[in-house]
Amino acid sequence: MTRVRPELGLERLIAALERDLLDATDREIREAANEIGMDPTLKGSAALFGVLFTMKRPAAHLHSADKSARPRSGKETGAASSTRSARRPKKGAPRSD
Amino acid sequence: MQTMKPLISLENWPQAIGFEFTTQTPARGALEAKLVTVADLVRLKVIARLHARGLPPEIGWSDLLQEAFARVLDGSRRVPKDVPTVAFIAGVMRSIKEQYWRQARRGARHRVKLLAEIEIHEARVGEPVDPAPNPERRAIAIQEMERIGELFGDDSQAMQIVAGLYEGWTPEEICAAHDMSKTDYDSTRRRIRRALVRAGLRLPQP
Repeated sequence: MTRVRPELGLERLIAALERDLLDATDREIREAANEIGMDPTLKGSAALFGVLFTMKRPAAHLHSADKSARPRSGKETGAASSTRSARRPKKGAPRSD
Repeated sequence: MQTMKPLISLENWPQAIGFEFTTQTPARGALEAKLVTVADLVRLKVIARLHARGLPPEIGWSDLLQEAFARVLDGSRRVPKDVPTVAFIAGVMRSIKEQYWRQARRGARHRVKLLAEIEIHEARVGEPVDPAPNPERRAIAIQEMERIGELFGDDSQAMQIVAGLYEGWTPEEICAAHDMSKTDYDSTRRRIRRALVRAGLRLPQP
């Protein structure tokens, strides 16, 4: 693994694995979850932590000056994005104001 | 004897340690709107964790996933009729990620703390992009390849396939290079898939 730029190699690998996951049957996904004792169909299943339920730090924390105290965000906490900012209207879209 | 008052209430511990707990997520909205199934959500969670491997640690996989769902739900990204919803949402995640790096390259990283602020113009489905050279992205990629290697470290055929995919080889080229039968290749890809799902669903290690 030396001829390819690492960032390109990783993206190629991710794309290939993504295709694999998109092609996997529901049964295969369920069985893989079951192998680690998870049943995504159960209410509150840990399999859907970060998806159907999340924990997040309040937005103020994200702007804290002390970066060293910040956890590794959603990768470790499953945090969702903070408050969404107003999106700029698309070209030609009617304005609400 | 005086009993000590617990520092944290177990009934609302996320709030007690400064976290907000929510069940009102865009992904739940999509499930309730029947845009996706529970199996799709599991699939997308694993894909989100894959894509987050190519991002700095402060951008979480859950942020990426919820932001993609939010864009589909608020209509800013419309699912084309000929594209499955799950594939489209995966494409939106990829586009947000690429746009993040484009903004970072332009030195505007301080402005992209929130993924919601990133504007994307198209959502690619299934196509990897050639990332522009970026020292931070390169360092992250090297680190993540090591972690992926650890996932399959004891499975030599899986490592051969992972290395081949990294190089951009076709299945035929991988089989030829490693004297691997098509059956072996297919069963190894299945093992890789299952290992990814297991790794993608496990709670993060401290």
